[in-house]
Amino acid sequence: MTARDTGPDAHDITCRQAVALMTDYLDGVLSPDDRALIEAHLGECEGCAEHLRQIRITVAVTGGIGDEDLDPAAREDLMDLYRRWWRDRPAS
Amino acid sequence: MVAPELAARVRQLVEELPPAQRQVVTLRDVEGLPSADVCGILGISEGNQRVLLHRARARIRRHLEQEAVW
Repeated sequence: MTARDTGPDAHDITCRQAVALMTDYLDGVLSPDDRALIEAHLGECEGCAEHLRQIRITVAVTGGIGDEDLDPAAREDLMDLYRRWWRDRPAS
Repeated sequence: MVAPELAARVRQLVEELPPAQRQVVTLRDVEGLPSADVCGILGISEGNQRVLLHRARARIRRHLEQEAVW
């Protein structure tokens, strides 16, 4: 019996592959097949489930720091890029 | 709202990232922009953006783990 007959199981991908898929998983841009693979893995691998939990917290904490106190020069460089992109963006 | 000490530490970790990682994580996670906009602003591919974001988050996570934040 192949994995395709039964749906993916936790061992169809390694922990390293699961971690590599996490950024796209969190963005919701994985193909249905890849999403099924990582979810099967996360369902049985406590280490990867914990890793994902920590990444989610990292994203939440980073989202809460506010940009006021970031290095002003680096922030200004980004703002320049942003303004240029906004000005030159294709009309939608 | 994030505890002030934790926010200060994460802000410092963001600033210590290599420049490309710092730019991506600032636009994606601090400013909350979607990946397509970030690719346009920085002039990078989706794949490159994903790798940089992944590395940035992984490095911040690892530091927080080493500092026993979890």
